[in-house]
Amino acid sequence: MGTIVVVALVSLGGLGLILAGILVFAHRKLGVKPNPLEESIRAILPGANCGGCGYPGCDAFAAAVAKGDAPPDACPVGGPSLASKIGRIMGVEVGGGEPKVAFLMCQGGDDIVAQSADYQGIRTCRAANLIAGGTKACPYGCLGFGDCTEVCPFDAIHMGPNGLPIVDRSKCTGCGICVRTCPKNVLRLIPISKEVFLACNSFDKGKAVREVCSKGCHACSICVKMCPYGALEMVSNLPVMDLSKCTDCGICYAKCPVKGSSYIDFAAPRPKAEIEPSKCEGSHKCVAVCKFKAIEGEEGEIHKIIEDKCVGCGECVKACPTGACTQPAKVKALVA
Amino acid sequence: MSQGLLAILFGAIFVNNILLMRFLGLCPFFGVSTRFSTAIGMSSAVLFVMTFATWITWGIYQLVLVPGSVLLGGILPQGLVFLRTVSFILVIAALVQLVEMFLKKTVPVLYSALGIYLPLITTNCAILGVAFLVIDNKFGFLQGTIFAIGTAFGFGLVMILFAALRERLELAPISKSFRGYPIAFIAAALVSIAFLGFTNMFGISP
Amino acid sequence: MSPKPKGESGWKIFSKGIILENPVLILMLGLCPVLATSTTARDAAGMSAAVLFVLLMSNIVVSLFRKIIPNEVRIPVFIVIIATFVTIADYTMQAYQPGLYKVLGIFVPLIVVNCIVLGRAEGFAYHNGVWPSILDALGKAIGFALAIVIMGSIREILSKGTWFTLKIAPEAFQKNAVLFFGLPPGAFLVIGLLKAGINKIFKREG
Repeated sequence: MGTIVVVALVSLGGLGLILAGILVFAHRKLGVKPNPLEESIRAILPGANCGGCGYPGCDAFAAAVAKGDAPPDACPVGGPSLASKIGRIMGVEVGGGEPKVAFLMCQGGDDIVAQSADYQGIRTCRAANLIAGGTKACPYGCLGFGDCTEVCPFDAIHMGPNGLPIVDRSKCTGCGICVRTCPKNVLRLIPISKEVFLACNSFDKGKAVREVCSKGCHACSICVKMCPYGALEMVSNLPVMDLSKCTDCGICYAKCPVKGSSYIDFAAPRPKAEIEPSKCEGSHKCVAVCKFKAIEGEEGEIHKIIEDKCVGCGECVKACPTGACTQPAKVKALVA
Repeated sequence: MSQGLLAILFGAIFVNNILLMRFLGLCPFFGVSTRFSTAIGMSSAVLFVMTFATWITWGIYQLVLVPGSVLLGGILPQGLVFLRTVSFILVIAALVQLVEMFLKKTVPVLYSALGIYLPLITTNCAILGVAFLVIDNKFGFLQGTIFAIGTAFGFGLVMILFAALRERLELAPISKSFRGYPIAFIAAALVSIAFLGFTNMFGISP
Repeated sequence: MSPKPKGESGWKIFSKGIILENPVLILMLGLCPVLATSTTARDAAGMSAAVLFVLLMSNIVVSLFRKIIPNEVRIPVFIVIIATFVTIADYTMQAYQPGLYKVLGIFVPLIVVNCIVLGRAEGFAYHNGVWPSILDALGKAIGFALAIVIMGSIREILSKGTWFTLKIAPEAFQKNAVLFFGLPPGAFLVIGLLKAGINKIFKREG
């Protein structure tokens, strides 16, 4: 009886010691020191594990930054403040990046674009897209089954009443998951301060677009010609905006011949310009820049804004040498 | 019981499939089988650990624990079979730690692919279960090896099959109460029915 | 799993394990033995008795020694403690309930890797006193028993028409009992539907 207890204890103890010894030895020989940078970076990450940085979770992102593989500003949830903190840890300069939010480049809801077929399949965008690109009459637009609403980790996008998702810009962190999920690529990340952006994804032109969507861009190029800053360029039948040149004047939005505009202007309706008669010296510079013929007055005379025609683009305000022409502050929508 | 090697192999992969027939290794199965790539990673890790674990536990059993063993036969004729559970699980836990360290240092690429699954494997009933089964079936070294490799392949086969299934399931609209585990279980039930077809094939008993 | 928040009453600790944090149906832990040993209600009850014993004893011991066990080696220490009690349960059942032991097979020694047991040792007993640990173990074990016996009952009634070997179904049903539910696919199906039902009742997802 005694021997069995002793032998059992000894052999088990011996086994344990041998295993522990092997492990300690292995740890010495094979141990990889954890990167202290990685630990300090991981500690300040938001920990949402949303994947917006492009890495599978915050742990992986911290490891990648510490290794030098990932840029310090890739975390959209932490934004520029986190980026600069990470930059300080890593000892690098981090350029300021503006927070971005999701934007839907489509206005073709159920009330505007017809269905081209009676869809009976799986009611998700990705599944519907597999079948001939979806069953909406416009082959480039939002399908409306809400895959984006399902994947958003921040509850920032919800399906609107007409089958188009609505982005809550106060909650959106610009992580980009919805953008990657959308099979039609109609979701785009734009800087949160951007006021005017094209809301159409159709690469068709003219009649082909007009037949299927009353809000679609039919590539008439009027906006391109009218932009005072040359910020628009027609590419594949869609005006592409150079964000470094665009000043959000809203002229493209106002000049678009489509009813209700193919653009979305978050600052619309813009407050109209006002001319203070006592300050106006009649330089006539405002009339030269106004594309809407909304200012009346001859040179030398006191000018007046024609309110019905003014769209609030603010070009006259910029052109006025005396500061007589002003515009009240704009109000931006948070939801779109 | 001396079964032919092919019978052992076929039995381990199909007839007595570890996941669908023996119910071992289910926790990581439902947790990890949601993506094709993770399923492959997990299966490879399991193959590796299962084979090594079987070798070492078999060795310890034959050399130390069995009555009349090489190491202790003289001192303790009745053997230490009752230490089977403790010693096996300690060995497996240590083995997994070792493999993790080894991979991390020598093949970091492989570690980043498989490494996260290794802790899941320590408490995986599949590994310990196979070690026990090898002993219970009184397999020799070669038979045990084939059994372990076959079992791991059976695990991998079902894992990968299931990952493909679940990727498609994700696209489908499923009512709220069924999302996640319930629909996965029902899918497993259907795949298990398919594997039922292998019962008693070639005279291999479940 | 975090340590018990200060001031949680004993009753709360105990009752949580039964329904709200039922280890099988809510936490989805320890699925392997649930599916494998729930063919009949009696086997299910036998399994839950073994789990109750191991869970209770290991929680007590871990809690008693929690101040002495160093943090770095805690997992292997837990495993040795649990394995000891598993071996005791294993041999006791072999001696006094050989019929049950034959049915449960390797799943008794496999309790050592049951996520519930290791999980409670690590997540509760290591951070709390002996009496709360006892309550926690009892609660979780009863929750486990509830889940597995319900499953066993459903499967036994449908596949054999009996409950705890008592004939309760009408004669006609007994002749045509649905054997399917005694087989592996039946197990998956029953737990899938059970989990879906739980999700519906508790308005959960997954």
